[in-house]
Amino acid sequence: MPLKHPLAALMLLLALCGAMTAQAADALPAAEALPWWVWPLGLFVVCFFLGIVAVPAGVGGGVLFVPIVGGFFPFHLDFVRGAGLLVAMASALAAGPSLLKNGMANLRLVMPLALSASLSSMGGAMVGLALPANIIQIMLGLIILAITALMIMARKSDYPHVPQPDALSQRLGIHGVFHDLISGREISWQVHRTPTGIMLFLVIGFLGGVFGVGAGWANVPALNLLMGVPLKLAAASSSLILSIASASATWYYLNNGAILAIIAVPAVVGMMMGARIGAHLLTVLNPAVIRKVVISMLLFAGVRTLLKGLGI
Amino acid sequence: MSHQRLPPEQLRYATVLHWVTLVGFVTLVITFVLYMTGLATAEVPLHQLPQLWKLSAADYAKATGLHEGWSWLFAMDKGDFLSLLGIAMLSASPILSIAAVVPVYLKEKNYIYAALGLMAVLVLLYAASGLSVRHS
Repeated sequence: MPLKHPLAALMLLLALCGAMTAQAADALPAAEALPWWVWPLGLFVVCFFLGIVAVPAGVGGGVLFVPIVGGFFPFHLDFVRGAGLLVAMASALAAGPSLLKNGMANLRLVMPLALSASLSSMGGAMVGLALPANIIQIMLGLIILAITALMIMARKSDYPHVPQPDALSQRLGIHGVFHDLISGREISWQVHRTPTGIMLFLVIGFLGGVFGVGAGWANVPALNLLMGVPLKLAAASSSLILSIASASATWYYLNNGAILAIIAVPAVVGMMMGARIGAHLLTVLNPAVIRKVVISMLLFAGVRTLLKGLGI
Repeated sequence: MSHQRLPPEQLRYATVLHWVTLVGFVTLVITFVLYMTGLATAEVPLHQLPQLWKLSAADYAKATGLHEGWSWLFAMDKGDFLSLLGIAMLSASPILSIAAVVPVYLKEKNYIYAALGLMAVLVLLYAASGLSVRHS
């Protein structure tokens, strides 16, 4: 049975953290007067709660992290995006081995798409760090609002019907059988529209690199709705693609001094600790309610990011 | 699904990824603790950071006199650079995992996937090399 009171308390705490950090960050001279350790500690706490809601809402950490931390903390967007990429990559890396070993992710499916996304992700990182911060902020606000719309409107198909695999996927041998642990069924799958999928992952990787938001929000619909990959396999394989694509952009950010350990490490550790609790809370919290809360948070953060970019 | 039914390259990728990621996370936490506790002194004093982290990455480098690329690797006695070691290890884990499966593909005579793996490794190595660093 869904617990409503802990959820309300969680949301209140998140709102309070957001409001406090926003107030402090808005008054920058006052923010500078605060002891330095307040910010990494606040970041750890906020990321811990973001990690809790990210798992039941079915979104990656990066897409929540960048607009919320970029909008409410006094850090430059370069460092926020660098940390955002690391948050997205670290979560995906941690999940990768078990997803591969239990057959939920498929390396044959992942490899060509990850190559495409990692190539463009580095290009995206180059563009992202070259553009002025206010332009990035405006574009980030718009993309977060677009992601919010996608989350509201996107349909999902547990087992999409793929009548005929395309020639490229047949040549690459992208097909298989996976064992669905919940239904106990053996699911046979194959894919179509592989060339279009590879092109789309070029675009997704580029956006991930520019904005440092990871790309789980786009990977899963592309795999599931476009290529016909069963939903669970799409979600798991998306994570693996994300870990490879984010790595190329992370290296670019690291080599350009856009990753500060004081921001990146508390964010990664907080998000991962929160995600572990979020995974346990899946059984007691209502995912539909959490998803609505996350959509509201993204809407709020997207509008704030856009206004901040416009100097309003 | 039993391991016997999974392709060998998938199992090898998972094993390498598990160990490299684990070592990376442990390094990340230990080095950050050394940095925060002052056991490894910071190049940029912690109390100065609130004036600096609002700057862009390029302006931060100018203000602190830090160099880009791999220069941090040669200043590991400083806590802020030492902390980047775990981040670099995590970022390197996909490179090592993909590199580990290329020989498996070659052994299977799956030259298409061996080539895809090699290309992915080259892309990631290029990103890691710092050759693409923008000079401000």
